[in-house]
Amino acid sequence: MTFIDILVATGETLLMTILSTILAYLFGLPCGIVLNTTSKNGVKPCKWLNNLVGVVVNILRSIPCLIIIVLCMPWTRAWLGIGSGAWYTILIPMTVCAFGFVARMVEQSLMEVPAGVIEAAKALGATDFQIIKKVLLPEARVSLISGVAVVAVSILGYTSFAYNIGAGGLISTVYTYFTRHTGDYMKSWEFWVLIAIIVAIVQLIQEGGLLLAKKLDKRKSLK
Amino acid sequence: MIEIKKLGKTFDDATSKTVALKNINLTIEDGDIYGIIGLSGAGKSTLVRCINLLEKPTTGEILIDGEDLCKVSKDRLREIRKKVAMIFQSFNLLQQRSVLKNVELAGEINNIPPEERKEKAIKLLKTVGLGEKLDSYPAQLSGGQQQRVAIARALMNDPKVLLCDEATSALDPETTRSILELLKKLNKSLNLTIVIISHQMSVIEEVCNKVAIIDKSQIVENGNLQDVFLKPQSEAAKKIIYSGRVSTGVKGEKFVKLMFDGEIQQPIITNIIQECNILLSIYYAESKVIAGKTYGQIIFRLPYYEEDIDKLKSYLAKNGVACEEVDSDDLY
Ligand SMILES: Nc1ncnc2c1ncn2[C@@H]1O[C@H](COP(=O)(O)OP(=O)(O)OP(=O)(O)O)[C@@H](O)[C@H]1O
Ligand SMILES: [Mg+2]
Repeated sequence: MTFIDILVATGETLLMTILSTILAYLFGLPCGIVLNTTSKNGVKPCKWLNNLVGVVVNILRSIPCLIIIVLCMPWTRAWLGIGSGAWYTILIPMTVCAFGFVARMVEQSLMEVPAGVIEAAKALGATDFQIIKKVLLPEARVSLISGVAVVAVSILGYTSFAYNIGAGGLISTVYTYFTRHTGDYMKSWEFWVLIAIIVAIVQLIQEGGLLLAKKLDKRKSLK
Repeated sequence: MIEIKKLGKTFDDATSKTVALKNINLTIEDGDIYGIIGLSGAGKSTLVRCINLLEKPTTGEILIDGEDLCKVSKDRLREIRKKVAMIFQSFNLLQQRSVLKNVELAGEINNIPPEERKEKAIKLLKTVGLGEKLDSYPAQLSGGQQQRVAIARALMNDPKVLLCDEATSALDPETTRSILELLKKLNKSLNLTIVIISHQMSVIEEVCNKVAIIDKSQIVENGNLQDVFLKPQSEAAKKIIYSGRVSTGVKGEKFVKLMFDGEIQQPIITNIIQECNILLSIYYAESKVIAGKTYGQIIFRLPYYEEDIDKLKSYLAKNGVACEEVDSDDLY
């Protein structure tokens, strides 16, 4: 294994994780907002919409990721030209896999905004959209950002399925390395370097997210 | 003018029904500082929240300058809410926005251009005495300061009415007084109609010109502050107004309660002692200022001899001091 191989694998993992996270939020954030605002005590209760989104999210969350990869294969093939064998072929299933999780995380975060603050905005004559944009999201931003870190770390973990469709990345490289050196893989430095990089990335996401959240929080950090 | 007509509110949960308001009729004139007082759970918050339709009435009408809030469109309701501002017990400021941005929020909602709203927000923050704290965050402010920010925010859209739901209940007496002073000032300078909800007598006494007493979902008494507070008619009102004030620790005895207002110049007690030649032991005395006038009451034990009682009564009648005989059990 060369230095270039390690570099490529790192790049693949980063790309898969970051892009999947972004895509998952692109769909998950609106769903989370809908789940929160249309709930019984939400800004604009709407039972059927809440149930509909809730059911879709729950169904998608209960199908294991590996199965979703298989189910998404036709679309991946149609839209990206190939169904497997490159890092980006994991993006679509990963997004489908994670967005339900994201929706629930966002819903939770928004729930942390005190009802009184939302009420105050209502009493000022705010529209529902203004409440979401100016009160709900900004007031929940600390929790939302910590949520992004949690989601990104989970998605990084899910990139192990890249092994199954030959999408590369650090985790599948580690596993491939193991299958080829079953006897002495523990003794080789490459094996440990790969693991160290994975640990470092996870730490970076986690600590970076926490630090950013703290920095943006005006509640306590200033006191 | 706010007219509340036959207002009723029932909370209908899956498990239970709670009647929070029953047949409420109330008229609040422009420029009034109207106090609504009642025990916990009486329905005060529900009532005030109906006035800007944060709570939707089950029956009845809420008329603001003749317009029934229950009948207007959503857009119109939002416009009305801009003119009927509200402050809360827990302040409800946005924790992630600076003081200035919190006040500006009201302007953002009302689509006031950035320059103009910033200027106005700064002016209002100066009015409430927080000109130095523009860039602080709510977490850095004391409760009293946070309520001042909330007041500035409420004033941003030039409201005609300010609803205060227990706005001073989380504050200490000194801070409470300063907030009430501010409200009085705003009432005068802006001709702002203010509705104050409180369970504290002292708050209502200090600022209101009218008061309604609400008990078990109903208004039991309302009118001018002096009339209601000095001569409460209903049991519920007496309970609230005199609650915990007089306690003689004596059972089964007769007492006399003297009530006087600031008009009386003579030293009554001294005169009774000297002119009627009877000795008195005072059990309780207080004086307070209501609507700028001093009022007081003194409670002492009824003299033992009939002739002393007669002397006392004729003396009081001659001098125009209101009095009534009370049992120790009837003292509140
Ligand atoms: N959202 C709600 N759902 C069900 N019941 C409610 C709701 N809000 C208030 N109530 C009930 O309505 C009644 C009046 O409540 P309200 O909050 O108006 O009282 P209050 O006079 O403001 O009391 P406090 O001084 O404790 O604030 C209470 O019995 C309460 O349990
Ligand atoms: Mg209340």
